[in-house]
Amino acid sequence: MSDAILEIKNLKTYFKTRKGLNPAVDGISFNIEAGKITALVGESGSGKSMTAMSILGLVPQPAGKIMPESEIWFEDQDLTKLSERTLAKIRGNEISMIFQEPMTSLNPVYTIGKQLMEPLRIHQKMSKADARALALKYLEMVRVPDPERRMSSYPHQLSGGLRQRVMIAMAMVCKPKVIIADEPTTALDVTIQAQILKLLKDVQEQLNTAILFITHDLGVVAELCDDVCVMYAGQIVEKATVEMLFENPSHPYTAGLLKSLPRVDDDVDMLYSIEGMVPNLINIPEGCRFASRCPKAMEKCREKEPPKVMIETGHEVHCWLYE
Amino acid sequence: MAATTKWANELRHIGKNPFTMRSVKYVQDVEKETLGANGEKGEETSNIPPQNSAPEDETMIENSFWKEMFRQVYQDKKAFLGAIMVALFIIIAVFAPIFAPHDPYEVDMSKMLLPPSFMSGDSADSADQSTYLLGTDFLGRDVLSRIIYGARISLVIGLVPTLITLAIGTLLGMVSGYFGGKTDYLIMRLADICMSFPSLLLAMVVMYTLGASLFNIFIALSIVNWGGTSRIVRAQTLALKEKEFVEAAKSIGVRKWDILWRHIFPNCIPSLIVLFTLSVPEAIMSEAGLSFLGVGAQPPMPSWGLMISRGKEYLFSSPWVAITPGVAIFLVVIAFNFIGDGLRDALDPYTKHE
Repeated sequence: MSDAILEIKNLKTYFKTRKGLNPAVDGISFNIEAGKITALVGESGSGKSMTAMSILGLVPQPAGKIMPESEIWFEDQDLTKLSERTLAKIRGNEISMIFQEPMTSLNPVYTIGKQLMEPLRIHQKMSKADARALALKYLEMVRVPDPERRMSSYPHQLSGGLRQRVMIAMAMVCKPKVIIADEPTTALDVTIQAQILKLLKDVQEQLNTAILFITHDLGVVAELCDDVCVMYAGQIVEKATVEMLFENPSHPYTAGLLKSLPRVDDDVDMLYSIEGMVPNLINIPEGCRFASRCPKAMEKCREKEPPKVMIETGHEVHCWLYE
Repeated sequence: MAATTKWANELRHIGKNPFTMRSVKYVQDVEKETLGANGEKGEETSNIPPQNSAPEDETMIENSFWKEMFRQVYQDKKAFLGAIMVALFIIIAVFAPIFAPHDPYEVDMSKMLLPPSFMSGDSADSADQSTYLLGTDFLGRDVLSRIIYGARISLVIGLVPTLITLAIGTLLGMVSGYFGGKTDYLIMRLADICMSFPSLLLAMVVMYTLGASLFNIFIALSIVNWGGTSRIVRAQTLALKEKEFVEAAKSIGVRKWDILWRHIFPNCIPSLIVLFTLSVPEAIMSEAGLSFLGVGAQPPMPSWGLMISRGKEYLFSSPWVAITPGVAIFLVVIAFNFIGDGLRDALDPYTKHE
């Protein structure tokens, strides 16, 4: 774990709501290693996207706040302590992001080419001609057919899959060290999903960037990623390499998630589902946050927060079961 | 067999209609992608040939925003008529000295209140009258020439305060919507105050304080009208700033003011164009109103509102002096409104595909 390019330590992002303080992200720590794809898995509302937004300093203002004890280390700089101006220099240049909705993530009034050139013009202060040439190269790299003509197309003239390719190219043009992909394939057809994932992997290998891949799709994780963090209710409950996690899912939540995946080789009438709902974060129950839905919950689980247990090297679980 | 031919004809028809182009093209793109995935299952997707776009793709009309707008206006008969009338109005205003048969300021008391030449018929001195197509006013000035020169004033009044209003309203509206909080509160309450006064009254107060002149009309009308613009722009900004492309722009490191100027402002332009065409006639009307009340343009300027005001004393004996400038105002205002309505329909996604 020494070559971590991005180190997140005790990240807490809280939201002020009318009902009280909502700890959307509550003290998570993990590393993203250079040249690897790290997955952040969890159901809706578990704080995955907020973690991504916190890294880039794009937490919705003024309701959201990154608490002062949080640290996000990127190349000897703590991103949470940087000014807006310095952060803007890092965004898109060193750390960039791919969004969930390709249909609305491109500005409808500009051509694809102009939008691709924007990060280059901002960060590398390139001339128009240079930026154009490079943008074209990246459009080719993400396999957009007929890139020369696509440069002067408007977003509405492209299909969703093509737009997501353009978004990937846009995230790549400045050769960032880290790319955050926030459910990049959720809004696409299944056939196109596979292409985009393959593309992401290829491009990642070519440029040797690290990717933080946010998803709720464990199938995608198994295929694409190297490390996995499973999030539940704003906390990380299990952290492991992909092999370890699928071999030996230790937290009851992870086990439940895996069990609820549909399988081709197993004919069941009803899919397994985890009972209950994510608890309301404003009034967090004492003890383990998963206790109310956990099939293996004990007395202790409802009283005290579970410890971090290393069950093997590089496999961390937050659960009383392994104490 | 017959059915197939009919189908083919219909398809060809659809292909020709630029309106359905986009959807046809979209289907093609999707087909391309899905074909790529299915056709090469198990293989690398990388060998999608980059040049596999169909040749007819090349002839596809790239429907840019402006082309689309002009096309829509061209198809809308009312808007097209409005556009022609506005074009005529602008040409007449710009080349007023060429069109005007007389000097609009030339006083000739011997030719006071002559009726329009087409009305007088075979009266004694018809040779002399024929040069006054719309008659003369109480100082013997040619009404037609004064209306033609008056078009200049109306054009300037229509454009300048409207542009100032739009500039102020857009800037304040975007700042208000984007930054929110106290800034928003302050700007919007200021707009409320400006809008809560009856606009003509507020303009009159400004004109009385600053004195009657053309330049002061600009200021008065701008102060009165910016509130409405800023509210519309603010609402647009509020909607736009939640869009993902703004988030995406932030994520590639674009600064706040650049986001406002380069990403939010261009998306407000369609509304601003509609707002502009609908504000021009309003400004022309306001000027006419102010001039009629005596706080706008001052004699001997050939302002339409002023002409009506001075002509009203002769309304029963020589109605042409007051009525003709009234007709001119009516025509210009309705022309701008036609265009404005047409543009609004053209740019509104809801009325588009009826």
